[in-house]
Amino acid sequence: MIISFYLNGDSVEADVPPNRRAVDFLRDEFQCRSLRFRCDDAFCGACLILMDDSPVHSCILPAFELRFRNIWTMEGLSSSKGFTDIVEGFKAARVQLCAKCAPARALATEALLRKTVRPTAEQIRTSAESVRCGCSSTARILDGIIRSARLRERRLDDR
Amino acid sequence: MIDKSSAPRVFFPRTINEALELTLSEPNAVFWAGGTSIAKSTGQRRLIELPRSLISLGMIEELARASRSEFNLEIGSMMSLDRIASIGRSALPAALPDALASIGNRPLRCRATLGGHLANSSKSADLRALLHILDAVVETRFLRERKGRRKPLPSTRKLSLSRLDTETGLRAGEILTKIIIPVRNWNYGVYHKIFPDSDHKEKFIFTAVARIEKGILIEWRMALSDSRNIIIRDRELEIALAGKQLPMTLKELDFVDDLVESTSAGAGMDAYTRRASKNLARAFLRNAAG
Repeated sequence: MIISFYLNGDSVEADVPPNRRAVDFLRDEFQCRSLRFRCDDAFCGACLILMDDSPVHSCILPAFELRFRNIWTMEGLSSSKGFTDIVEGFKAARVQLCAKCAPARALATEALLRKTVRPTAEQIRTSAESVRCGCSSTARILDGIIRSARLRERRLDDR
Repeated sequence: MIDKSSAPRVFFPRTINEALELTLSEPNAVFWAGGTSIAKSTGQRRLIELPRSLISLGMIEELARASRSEFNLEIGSMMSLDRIASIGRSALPAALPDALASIGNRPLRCRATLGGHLANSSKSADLRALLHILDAVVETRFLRERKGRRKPLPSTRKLSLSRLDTETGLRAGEILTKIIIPVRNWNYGVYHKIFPDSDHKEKFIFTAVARIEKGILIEWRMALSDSRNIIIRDRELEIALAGKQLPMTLKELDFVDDLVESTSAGAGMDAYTRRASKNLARAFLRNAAG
């Protein structure tokens, strides 16, 4: 099946079996090496991608679902302006993430900040729960998200 | 190496009628909503195990809308749980935001749809008990049959949730199009999902809504649900307490205990869930008093 979609801002097209896992497809065909396939059960969140600005697990997503969608992975996000808000926010909160969850954590935070730059406590908690990894304390991660949101809001206001 | 010949065929209709007409040429095709329950059961395999033929409903805009009138909140079956939650607490019926938040995590809720959640035959669908006490009905569309031959004439019918759970529920080729929740003045509601065992395999759901005016319990509804029972509801108890002044007396709360005990015991619930049901019913009525 030939599908076309937007990947990190670029229009792409590929021939893929519709039932291939999106995580494998994006890793193998488009070198999205930040995506990890750990739990295969939509549990850990390490395979997170942004699909039309919503965070979704690519491990349970068949490739045909990517059709005509706007997909963002860490490879694209890391070269965007907004990424510095997240890096600086987490740095200020002294969050030290491991290599396995850091890309997913950044994408989950970006998904929240694309929705609102003034998230409620519930939205922040929900965003933090999108990725399950024991490498850093929850309190610091929550603080990192709050600081990232403030930086994003300030940057947008300065425009 | 991936064998492409065994790949399923996927169709992307843009309207409900197009999807229904596809069922004529593809009678064994399965409607695809969010697909979370199918994909989650695949395990570590490289390819997701899908039916041979799929009709994806993701491109049908009509199914992904919500509207609210004076009488009803209508939610398109392809609206994701996350999008429903983003409608906001003030516009959603009591307890529904909490019930939505209790399902998986945000990435899962961004994929899972309300229609898929209800069409799934699993007894443990988390929202059923709450939607049942809110008097929700589902609207479906199908091609009308005549003399054993289907004609391409789309028809609509409405089903209560209890009928959806039985054999009279969704037929082959029938699409669940929307969920209609009557707008009533429920001003207090709770939803609790409890996992009695540490392995989180079995769950127990307690949900209740109430309409309270000037300290009087005008109307209330309560439902329990576990892996053995889709919905347990005691209408006798609901009627018996209507019109009572809040907070209730100890005698009245003991009466609630007795009825909840007999209802849950009659449904075959174990001692832990029976006790939890009683405690939660008491807590609900105590907190409803403000």
